[in-house]
Amino acid sequence: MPRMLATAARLYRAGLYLYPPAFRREFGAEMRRDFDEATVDCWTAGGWHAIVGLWTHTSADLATTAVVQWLRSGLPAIGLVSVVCALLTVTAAAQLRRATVPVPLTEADRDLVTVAVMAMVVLLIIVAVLVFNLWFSRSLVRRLPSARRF
Amino acid sequence: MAPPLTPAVFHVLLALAPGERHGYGIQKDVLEHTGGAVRLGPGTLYGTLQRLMALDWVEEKIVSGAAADERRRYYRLTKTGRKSLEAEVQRMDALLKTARAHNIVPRRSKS
Repeated sequence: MPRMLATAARLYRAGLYLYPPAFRREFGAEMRRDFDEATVDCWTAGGWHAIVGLWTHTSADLATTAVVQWLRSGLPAIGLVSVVCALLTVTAAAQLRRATVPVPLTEADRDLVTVAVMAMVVLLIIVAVLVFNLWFSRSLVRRLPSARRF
Repeated sequence: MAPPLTPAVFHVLLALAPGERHGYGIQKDVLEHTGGAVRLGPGTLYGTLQRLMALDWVEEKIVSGAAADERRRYYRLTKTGRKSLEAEVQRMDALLKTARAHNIVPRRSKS
């Protein structure tokens, strides 16, 4: 079999990393095996013409279903909720600080506060993503059919 | 009345109707049933299987014996899945009857 087919198989394996980790763990090995078998079958049956058709179809399928799986995984919603929570927390903290401490006087102080606030937002987003992700994963694991049956 | 099944779900259920299949077997069956018109990509197939297993329409089956490729996971219909497939076929049959009543089905399909 030409070396190009082996390269395509490696590319497909790399492409599977576009899927969410849970989906990849569940079906990744089978998808790789199916692609390898389909490649051999297409090469035997139709040569390069069939191979190009298979690659085109599989690439389009990968691109569309990866988006679907990420949306289904709930991670975009978790990210959005986390960002909102972090921004609300920082806003509330800023309001409290304004009530007790005077506004910084110099330009350097303002820059320092801005950097501190941005760092706080980033840290809070990371913490919120971790917390929501953990919570969501636990509720998801309980619903997984494989966890129920085996 | 249940909503119509998506084409991917219908084809996967139909491919599993005769018995258990592994993923690539389902892909090949669908291609054969539809005369090459429908090719399920791996992402579509396993995404559909994931949903069907969550609905309890399809389950994994552990196949033992020399004939079975032990590296593979096999899937089969549950009773609920078979009932859903039958309901969909009945719905399609009713549509076909309506089409026949309106004389829009090709003559050779009327037998």
